[in-house]
Amino acid sequence: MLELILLSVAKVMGIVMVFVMAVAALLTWIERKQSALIQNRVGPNRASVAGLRLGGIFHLAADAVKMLTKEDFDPETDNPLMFRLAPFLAVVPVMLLFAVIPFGPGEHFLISNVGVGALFILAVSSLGVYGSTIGAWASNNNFAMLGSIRTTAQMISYEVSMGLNLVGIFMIYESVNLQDIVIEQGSLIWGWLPAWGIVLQPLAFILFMTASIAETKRAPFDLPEGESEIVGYFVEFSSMRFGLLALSEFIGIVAVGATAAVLFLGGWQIPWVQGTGGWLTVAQVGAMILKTLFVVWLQMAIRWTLPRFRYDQLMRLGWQYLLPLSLLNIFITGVVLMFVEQGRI
Amino acid sequence: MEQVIFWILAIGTVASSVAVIVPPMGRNPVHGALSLVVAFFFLAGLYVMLVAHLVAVLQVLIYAGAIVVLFLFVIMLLNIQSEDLGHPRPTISKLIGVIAVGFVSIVLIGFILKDKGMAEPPVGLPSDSTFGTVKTVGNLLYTSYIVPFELTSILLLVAVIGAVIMAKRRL
Amino acid sequence: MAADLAHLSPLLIVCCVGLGILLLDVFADPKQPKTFIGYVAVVGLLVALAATGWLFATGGVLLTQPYFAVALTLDPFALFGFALILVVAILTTLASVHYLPSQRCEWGEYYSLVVFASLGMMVMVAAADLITMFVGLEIMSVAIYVLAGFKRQSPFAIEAAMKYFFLGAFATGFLLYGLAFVYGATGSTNLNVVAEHFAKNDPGLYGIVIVIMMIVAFGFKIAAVPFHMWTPDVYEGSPSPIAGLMAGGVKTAAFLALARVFLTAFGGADFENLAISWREVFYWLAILTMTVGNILAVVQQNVKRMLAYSSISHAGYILIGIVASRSVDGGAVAGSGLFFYLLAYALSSVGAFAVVSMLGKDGEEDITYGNLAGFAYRHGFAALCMVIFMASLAGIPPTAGFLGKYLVFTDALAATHMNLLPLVLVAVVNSMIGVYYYLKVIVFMYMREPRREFETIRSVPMGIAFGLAALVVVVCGSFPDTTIRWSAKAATGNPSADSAISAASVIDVPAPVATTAK
Repeated sequence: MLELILLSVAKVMGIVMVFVMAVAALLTWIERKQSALIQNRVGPNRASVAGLRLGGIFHLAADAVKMLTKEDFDPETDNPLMFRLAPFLAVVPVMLLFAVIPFGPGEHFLISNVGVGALFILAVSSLGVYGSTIGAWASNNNFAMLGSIRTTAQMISYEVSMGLNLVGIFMIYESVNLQDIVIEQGSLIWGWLPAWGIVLQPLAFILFMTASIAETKRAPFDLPEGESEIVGYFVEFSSMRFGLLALSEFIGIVAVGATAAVLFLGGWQIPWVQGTGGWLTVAQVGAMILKTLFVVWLQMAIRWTLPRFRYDQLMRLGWQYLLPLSLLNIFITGVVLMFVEQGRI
Repeated sequence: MEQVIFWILAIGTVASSVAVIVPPMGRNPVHGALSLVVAFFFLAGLYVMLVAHLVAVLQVLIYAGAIVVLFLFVIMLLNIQSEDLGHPRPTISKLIGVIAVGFVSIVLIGFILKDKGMAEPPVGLPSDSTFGTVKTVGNLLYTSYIVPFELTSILLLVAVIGAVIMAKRRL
Repeated sequence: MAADLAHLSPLLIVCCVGLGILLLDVFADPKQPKTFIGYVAVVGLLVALAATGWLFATGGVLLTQPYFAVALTLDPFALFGFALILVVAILTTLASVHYLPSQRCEWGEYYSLVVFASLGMMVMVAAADLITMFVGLEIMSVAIYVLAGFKRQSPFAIEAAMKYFFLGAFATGFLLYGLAFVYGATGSTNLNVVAEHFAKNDPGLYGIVIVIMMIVAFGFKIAAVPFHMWTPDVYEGSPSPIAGLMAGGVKTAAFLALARVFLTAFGGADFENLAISWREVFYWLAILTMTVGNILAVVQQNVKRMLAYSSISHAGYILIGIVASRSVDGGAVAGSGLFFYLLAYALSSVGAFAVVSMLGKDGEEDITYGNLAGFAYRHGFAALCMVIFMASLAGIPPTAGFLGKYLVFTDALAATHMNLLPLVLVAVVNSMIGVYYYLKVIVFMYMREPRREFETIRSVPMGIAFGLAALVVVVCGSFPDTTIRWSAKAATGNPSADSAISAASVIDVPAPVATTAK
């Protein structure tokens, strides 16, 4: 019993604290640096330690110090408890996502091998909306309230197509367990093509990424906050509470990266390399991390490439394009699977 | 261990369900809705204890993640102040409600005490490992329950048409 | 499989008609009137009615596919219900085609909602499984909630929809809670499996809770006192043809489903001996419902509200039929009076509401007695039909209503399991009270001078609707042999009782394991 608990704690620490938090923290800097590069600016470069700037990486620490030492402002509200609870409600679900994501073969790189893993991801990510909704409502601020209404509508709308896009994956790999899905993706079609999700479900991958970016409230779907033009749902939050809300977004990006890597990019599978054990396992964990980082980079690049949608465009995209396309994808997948089972393909 | 978890979940479910309607939480619609979310979580925990993992996840995904969010959405849009709700006062219908709830609870508790009724569920706990998996539930839905399952889609269609008719400004 | 689909054709046709006219509405020219959609719906429902007639003539069918057989039963009982519901739906649609434009709420979805509501009702009466029944009930209810509020610009309509929706949702809650207890006690929701389980085991306290929950749930749907409060408001606010659908269709479906559930699943001797026997409860509910409904109907000024209270009191008479019925061999319903009464009552109320539909123009309705004054001089035919409906509802020969009452009362007096004489006496006294307010309508139509000019809708399909209903009411009342034979057929045959059980054991419905009953 004790061993089990210790092992679980070790896994949680390893995956969430070391990997996820480190990446999320780094992202705060990477995002600014990457946007600067894209927009032909210099970006953050002021913070320095002993004269060393290193491209401004010390802004990480500077930001943390700033967040922690700023005034912790409490708005006049009837619900101080809810107001304080909101950042936690935002950050806990996105962290929980990592409980079921397999970072490597076997049990050691996976916190909990839940049978309904992929559904667990959908369920937990659907809870993320509470943080912003409650937070904005408890702020007792009309602008925050409007922001939260945008958030809720957006997240509810895109949750539907996000879930539906995974159905094709479930149908092909005949499982909702993430580890099973990854193992299935190790096989080869026609002896040379890796059976990755992105190969078998290209449309679903694009739709899933679109819906996921909307779920993490990132540009071009950043209507919930839209810092430069429209006031967002966390306008009343300051210091580390704001920090937590912002951090939950960055963790969300990593979570989307990990989920997409597991479901569509073969997880820890290295193409054309079978088997596990020894150094190969280390390489596979490395592959998983690389894939995650790739998707994270992709999200960053999209964020700084596309302009923001207008609200009606956002709703139309979600309900009139994404949703029917997801259903079409399920239908086509079903037809193809039927033919495959009959041996016609 | 199992007993301890069960009692935590059971008491949590009942307490948070009561909090949905009973003051002080129940006075504020938003707090009531949040209590409902908490109740759903405890309930999902109970489902997990019954090895019904799929139902547990769907409970969170659909009820906590979607339906109550919409509840909150509507409540917040209406922006009901506590003055609008008026003062709670005892009415005869509330008394009848309390009596009815009391009666049902007493009957149920009596049943449990008399027969140890809940100790042995009539269906029996699942014996095989496939119980409650997505595959098994899916198989049941598409075989034994195919008729109600397909009819449910008509129900949803009717509900969608109804919502549009009642709410759309210009038809 | 193919044969099963042919046997399910009434349901499938209705379903396809609903979907078809929905699409038809989408692609129709939005500026044109939607009348033709109503006619298409009528034609589709007539086809379904023909299919039902064919199945009824063959005496009910067994579904061979086990997955269908566990969910639906197509015995004469269900087919009789199908036919009645389809007729009511057709008459409602005919009455609506010119009513809707007059109320400025002519949207094509109306017709598909009516069709889907009928589909839900049909599923309810054919359900062999409580879950199927529940889904059917919900399809019906959701469609009717919306139809009740279809005149969106009228605050009364919104009130009607809200009231009906909230109370209906509560009733659904009770029903589901009851279903949960049924499953908890027996491990199954299939009516036959439940019946088999309760035949072997004492239902005990489970039985009491189940009975209470089910009675509350069905009590709302059939509008039995004390669950009737919503009825007058909802009928008043709804479009008049829809009020007819509620009175004729919803009640028929709810009563047939109630009869099937209670007589099949809870018909065992152990349920009679419970501390709270459902038969006793229905006995008292019947007395309350008849009396309260009648007395309140007397004082109404609005004809629609009067008809609402009259429909409440009729629920009481129909409950007598339920109390008098006995399950024979686990499933069959003895007492053909129930079916005849349902037919007479459903057609009379749909017809009455169709006549009432005439009294509206330009988004307004004024259906007080005063507005009926002199109605007969302007609309002789409609007034004549109304006289027939009122006579039928009051139970005056030679209408079907009289014969229905007569058959139900004889059934009740012939019942051996319970002394129902007091119940019948109360019913007779109530029928006499009823004559007063039904005659009042006739008196106003024929013997009063019109107080002011009132506009009415002149519509041929509406006339066809109440004309047909009146014709059937008179024919069934004067030459009742065929109808009585059909009712008797519906009351006795239940061919799939055994097959459903065997089908249930074939597939993976969790077999009930004996409870620790005592």
